[in-house]
Amino acid sequence: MNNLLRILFLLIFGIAVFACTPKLFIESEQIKVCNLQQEDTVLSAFISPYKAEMDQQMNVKIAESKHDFLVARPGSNLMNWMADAVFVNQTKNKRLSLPVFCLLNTGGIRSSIGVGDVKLQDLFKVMPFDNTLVWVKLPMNTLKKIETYINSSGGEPISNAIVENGTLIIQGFEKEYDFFWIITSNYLSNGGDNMSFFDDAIETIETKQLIRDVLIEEAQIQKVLQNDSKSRIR
Amino acid sequence: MKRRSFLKKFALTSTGLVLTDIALASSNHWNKKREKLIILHTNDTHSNIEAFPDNHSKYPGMGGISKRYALIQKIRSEESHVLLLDSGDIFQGTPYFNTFNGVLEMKCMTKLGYDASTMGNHDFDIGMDGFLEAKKHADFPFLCANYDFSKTILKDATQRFKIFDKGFIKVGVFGIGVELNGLVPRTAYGDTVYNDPISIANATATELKNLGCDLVICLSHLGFEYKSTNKVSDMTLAENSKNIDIILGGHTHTFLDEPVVKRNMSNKNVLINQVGWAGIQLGRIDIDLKKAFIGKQNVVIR
Ligand SMILES: [Zn+2]
Repeated sequence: MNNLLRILFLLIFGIAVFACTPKLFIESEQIKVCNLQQEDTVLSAFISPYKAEMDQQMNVKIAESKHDFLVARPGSNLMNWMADAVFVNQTKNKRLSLPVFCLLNTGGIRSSIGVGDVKLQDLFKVMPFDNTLVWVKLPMNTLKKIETYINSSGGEPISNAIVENGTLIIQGFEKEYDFFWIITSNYLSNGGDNMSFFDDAIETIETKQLIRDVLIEEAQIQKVLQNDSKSRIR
Repeated sequence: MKRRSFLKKFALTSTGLVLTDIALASSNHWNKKREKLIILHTNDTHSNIEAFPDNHSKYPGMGGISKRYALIQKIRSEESHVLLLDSGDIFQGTPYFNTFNGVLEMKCMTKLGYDASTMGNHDFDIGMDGFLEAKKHADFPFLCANYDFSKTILKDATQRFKIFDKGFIKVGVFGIGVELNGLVPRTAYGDTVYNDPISIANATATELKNLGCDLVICLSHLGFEYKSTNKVSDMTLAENSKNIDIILGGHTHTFLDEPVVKRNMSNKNVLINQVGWAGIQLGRIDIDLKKAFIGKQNVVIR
């Protein structure tokens, strides 16, 4: 029993108004599946050739991590790392004539990264979806809608921008502009996660680059994942 | 330690917390046999075939389908009436999915002996053709009552409900899916029509009761609760439902410490449960009628 962290509760069904009303006796437990339990050896043996095939493809070291990279609203190191990797990759050697920032979605980061070797499979876990990067050109008044979205969601990964006291500020562009670009995923630009402000798009450029491939490339360049844990939503 | 404090809490609160005259009131078989129905359930397993690594920051060493199987087998060896159910999002989350396109998940769930599942939004991630291809390896039904697949390639691939005869009790199980628009790319769900969850759930549950089911279980991928929006959730479904006894939920990856109880439209109680994600927990609900007729005693603690 003590190898299961048991949570029990008892409920009695039925108001005893009539003597013959049956009461349903319900007991429930959320059983934790943990290391203290045995594996089923037959099933493990069945899985092992699949694991071997997968590992052959996925167990390749691509970088190192000196911190736990986590997802936490309003902002965290993994959210920053991912948005930065995308932003740096996409703006490398480009002359930017309009404000640009990167916006991804917190819900799209599907795993954390632990301390130690960062393997290909870790980035597959972080970004399992085959989403691609797109550049979306939007009118400046759409910025308000994005602010509203981020303020109500509680935080999304952003790079080259901060949200301060509810106001979104794109960094590095002093004068006033009529338009700006967002680098984002095709999932979001197509209305995923209810980011309906992308309906305002004036122009969309499909890069056809998988977000995951970009993360892998940038992780390889960094060698040790760059850690910035300061939230950009303040 | 934990258990004791928990029982105490319930002992204190249970005068106010009276659960329902669940449908079983109508069932006479209950007092004849003294048996139990064990409902085991998962949700949002997300391709987690292996346990989390030991250096994982949040769930070191937790989960793993092989350990889950051993646990289930042990329970099956102890109990004669077990139902094993899943509330969707079987796909997506580990490289197993990217490498084998969901086939391994289906094969493993078949080996574990799942009785039924419903579809989550991520089960559309490789399109309906990808799902159909993987499903060839599933020897259990997918229950979807509010997705109308009639104009799609999934038209014969799912069913609205299934009735299980578990010895002395007839259990009706059906599935309710989340709105796909805004969550799943249009290209992935194609001509699937999403129908209103609450009205479909009530109609299906009533149909199941009329078919003689003693217990009606809804496998839901709606999500547990949305505080800031009026999006339909398991909590709102429960409140607006009739004839559903238990909602086994998913989608929001909610780790409930214990099932939640809600009053429905007929002032009966509905039990809602959800066990997080990734196979970290296995939900277990025992329905036991050993103490079915206990007169006016309101509290049973053993
Ligand atoms: Zn999920």
